[in-house]
Amino acid sequence: MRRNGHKGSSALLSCKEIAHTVSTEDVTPVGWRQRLSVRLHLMMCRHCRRYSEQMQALGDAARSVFQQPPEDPSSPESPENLAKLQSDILDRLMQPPKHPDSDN
Amino acid sequence: MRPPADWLKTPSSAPTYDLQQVIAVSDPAILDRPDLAERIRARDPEALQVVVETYLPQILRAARGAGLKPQEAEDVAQNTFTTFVESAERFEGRSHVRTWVFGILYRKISETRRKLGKDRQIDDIDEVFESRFDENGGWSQPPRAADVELEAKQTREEISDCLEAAPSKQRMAFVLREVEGLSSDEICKILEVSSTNLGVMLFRLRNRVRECLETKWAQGV
Repeated sequence: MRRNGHKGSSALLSCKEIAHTVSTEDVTPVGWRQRLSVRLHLMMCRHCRRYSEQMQALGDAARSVFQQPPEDPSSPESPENLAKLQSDILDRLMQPPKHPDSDN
Repeated sequence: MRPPADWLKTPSSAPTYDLQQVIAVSDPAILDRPDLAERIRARDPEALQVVVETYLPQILRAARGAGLKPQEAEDVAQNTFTTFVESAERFEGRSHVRTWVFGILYRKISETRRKLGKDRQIDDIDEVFESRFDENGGWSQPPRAADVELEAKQTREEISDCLEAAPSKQRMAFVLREVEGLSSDEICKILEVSSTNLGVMLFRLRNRVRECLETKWAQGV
């Protein structure tokens, strides 16, 4: 039977392996056997299901917090400040470089 | 005017402001043209404007996600674009502009956070994670069961606070993945890590933040 790395066959995964898998699965693709095994485990195990929901909630919270500009009017992300910062940056970039050799 | 490429659009769920209402947007297709590096080196105004218009909002958002204060985020954004233009010599269009810009941004952010002493030296999350399981890999301290809605609300309120303890590289990986929705491959290029490394970083960050939030949920913040 094909094995998934050192973690053994995908037949029965421990809760620890499930937790490890669900917290990295978006960047570490797993084979279909393991995916199926994880799904079955989650159906049967409420603790791992909770853990998996919490991992999902983390990403959802990050998106909802960081994808909108903060209410703080001093934030550079507020529309007025953004427009001003953008033109400041462009003004500076279009000036000839003062230290052509410097890289940073 | 042609519509922006797919990767330029913010995810539809994002209730973000419309940049097009703020500033007249020039043609973003410039970013995909082979002469982009040359135009940047020549400080071509149109090319510079497209680069800044396209990436400034993303840079500011990522800087905030990485834990910078408004003024620090502005400085980092300025410096990122300056370095981008100065290093256009080495930019041959091999990597996507976004990868290049975010790579510079990551280095600026870690410099800033290092200077401010915000990066913790020790990360014991692996031991904390292990301690929640018994020798057979079953839960010995299972995750807290709670009202999911309430927990989600508290998570939004507390996530910035809980992210604060994480090293910048892990934070950046998390923000690029969850907020900007970049692919694993692109994040690896930006942070100059292997995909195994990226998996370890996200594992540590997510578990660190989950542990921190769990403590707060228990206090009923």
